[in-house]
Amino acid sequence: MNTLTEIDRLLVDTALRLCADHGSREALEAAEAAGWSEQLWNALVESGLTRVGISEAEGGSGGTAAQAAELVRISGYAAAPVPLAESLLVGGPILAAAGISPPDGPLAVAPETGRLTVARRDGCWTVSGRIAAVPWARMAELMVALASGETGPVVVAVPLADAGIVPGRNYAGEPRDTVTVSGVVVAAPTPAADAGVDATTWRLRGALARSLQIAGALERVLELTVRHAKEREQFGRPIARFQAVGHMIALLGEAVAQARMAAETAAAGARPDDAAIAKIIAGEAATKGAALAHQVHGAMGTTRECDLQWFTRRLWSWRDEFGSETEWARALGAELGRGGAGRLWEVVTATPEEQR
Amino acid sequence: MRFPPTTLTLPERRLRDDVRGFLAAELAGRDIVGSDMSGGRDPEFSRRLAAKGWVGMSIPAEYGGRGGTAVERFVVVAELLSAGAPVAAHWVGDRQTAPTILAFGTEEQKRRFLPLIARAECTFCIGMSEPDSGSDLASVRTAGVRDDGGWRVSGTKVWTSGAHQQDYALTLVRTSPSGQDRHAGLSQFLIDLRGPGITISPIISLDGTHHFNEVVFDDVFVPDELVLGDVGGGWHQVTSELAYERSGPDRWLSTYGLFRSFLDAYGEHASDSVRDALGRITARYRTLHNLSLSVARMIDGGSAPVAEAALVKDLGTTFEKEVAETVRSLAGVAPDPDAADRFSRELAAATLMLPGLTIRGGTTEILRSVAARELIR
Ligand SMILES: Cc1cc2nc3c(=O)[nH]c(=O)nc-3n(C[C@H](O)[C@H](O)[C@H](O)COP(=O)(O)OP(=O)(O)OC[C@H]3O[C@@H](n4cnc5c(N)ncnc54)[C@H](O)[C@@H]3O)c2cc1C
Repeated sequence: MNTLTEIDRLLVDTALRLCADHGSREALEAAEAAGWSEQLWNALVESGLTRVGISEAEGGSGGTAAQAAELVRISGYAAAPVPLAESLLVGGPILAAAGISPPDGPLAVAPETGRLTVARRDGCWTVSGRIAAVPWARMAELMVALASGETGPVVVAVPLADAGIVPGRNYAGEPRDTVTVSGVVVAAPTPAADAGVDATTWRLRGALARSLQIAGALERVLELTVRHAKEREQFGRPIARFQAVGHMIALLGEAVAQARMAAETAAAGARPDDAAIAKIIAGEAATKGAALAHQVHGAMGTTRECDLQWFTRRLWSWRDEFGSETEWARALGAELGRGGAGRLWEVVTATPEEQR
Repeated sequence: MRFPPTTLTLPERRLRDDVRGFLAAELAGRDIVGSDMSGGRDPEFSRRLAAKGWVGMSIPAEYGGRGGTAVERFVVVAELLSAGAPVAAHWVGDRQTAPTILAFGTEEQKRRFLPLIARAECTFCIGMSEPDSGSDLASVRTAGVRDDGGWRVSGTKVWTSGAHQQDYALTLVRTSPSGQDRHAGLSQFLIDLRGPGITISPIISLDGTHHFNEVVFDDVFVPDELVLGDVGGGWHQVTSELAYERSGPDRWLSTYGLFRSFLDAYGEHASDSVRDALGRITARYRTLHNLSLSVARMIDGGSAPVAEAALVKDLGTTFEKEVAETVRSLAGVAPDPDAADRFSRELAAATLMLPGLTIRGGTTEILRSVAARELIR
């Protein structure tokens, strides 16, 4: 885990290059107006990067979950306006586990569970219900959801051509749409247990994806802030030379270090606690880090002209998606309250591979 | 600045489990308040720990240690502190004097001191700060004057933790006047605190305990064989010694005992705000554990992550204080140092030591400047 292999480096370099090719200010503004960058998405599909971490047998391009996680972190670093996180870490692996091969097009993932109901009628399965703030619904063919089945929770792939979609967006203009379905016919649903998910792990997958994106975006925010502090002069010297500014940068560095460590730890193992912890830490770091970076940037940072905004608008959105710090802290806290001091130290010190 | 995630290997996990088992037996029935490295002192405990090979672990076998790694020490120390073990006797020798002697000492000094440290039979304290030298350590005025076969030392050190109980002070002394380069002309002496010419007076801490001291040296003779490393090389040595002082579990576990008592007392039927705090604080502990472990792994890999260690120490020590203040405001008890209620006692003990946590071993402001310099480079 410490060192990138050749393959990792190739993947990372390819992803960074593609994001940079489609990452000019004009391209990002156009993507925001359109809701996404279809060109970037197609380029990622062509390079096989939208299916990393899913085996070839299951319709993916092979590679490891760790590589998929690294790509998601990079998509945050690049503020890439594409649904890579949902495809690589949430919808794609769940579909694959449910025996459904993921489509080429972007996948939408229902962030809330249990909002849809699956019923069997005249030998067909149908699904009905309404879910708000579904990422990327308007450009996706399929939405993966954890629905209520007749005998328990089930994974369904809902064709969105037959759904009612009301557009919505987050601060960064990323589509967060409301999806309504009523009696839409779906393929036979998979019992949640067979796909290895439940209501909590479903949201934790999304939480981990957002944590990695936050870690990546914060790293970029630190780079932009250091660069600005060295270039901007006041009182006859670069503002980086003022101790107060240096200390803000140190605190920003601390936010970056914590978010990345928490997200990478969660990505490396399979401990649900670690995914909740990643979202708590990343959420706190997003808030602190964005505030510090803006303070160092002065008035320029409050404008649309300054590149900082591509990242801070995302940070402010992502911290609330798939569960805020508070939601996950309460869940973890309740578990610790039941488990007591022994459980506490175990959570603090466990190596990621150690299962409870 | 990068903190590569790392995990414990199987042998490292086995070590952790062994230490856990040892401590469960050792500490059973003791009434432990707090989990700070400068808390309980029990030389007998230190010696039993040493007999297991868990003191001075990084000392090579030829000098009586086990040639262990920084990560192994990390594992042992995290267990000791989280359990509130009485580590004060061997603490400084284990954490910083042994590695400093190993790096800079003569062969004779290594043979003389390292086996004693590994058996917890010789204890140390840190003689750096002075009345007029705190953060600006290079300004120390304690002076050494050349004499036959050694040096004559005069001056005053303060805040010397444990000087009244420990055997030696590794003391920073000016051995030639500070000229253009303030960092030149400093040396480190191993001074036997029981020798003639030394007056040790208590300085009482906020909680009324005698933790640190003023140490006055009046023409104290230090033989050449107790000069550590190069005469005039003290600055380089002391700054690398400070790196050992930073970023270990002692920088984020000081109020862990209090947090554990809070969990015991308030965890079970927790309100939403208590659950929120339990979750957030535990998430921070987990992340600091992993950052601190990453620094230990970098040290084992041969790098000198000085700025990284400063950053982790700043994060850890500000966090230790936040933990105490958060549980205090949620619990709403009036703490009493003599209360029967465990949480109340822990809170009283912790609160009075909080101010020192972000001072000792380098203040918040100094640490942030070290980290910033690296980030802005
Ligand atoms: C519990 C405890 C145990 C200790 N044990 C030992 C020991 O065993 N041996 C030993 O030698 N020392 C020990 N110390 C002393 C410790 O190392 C010093 O207190 C520390 O280095 C700070 O020095 P100072 O207290 O003189 O504060 P000062 O240096 O006077 O600082 C006062 C304030 O000014 C700020 N400041 C100073 N310089 C700067 C700057 N350049 N930029 C911005 N802000 C600045 C500081 O951050 C601080 O807020 C101990 C201290 C404590 C609290």
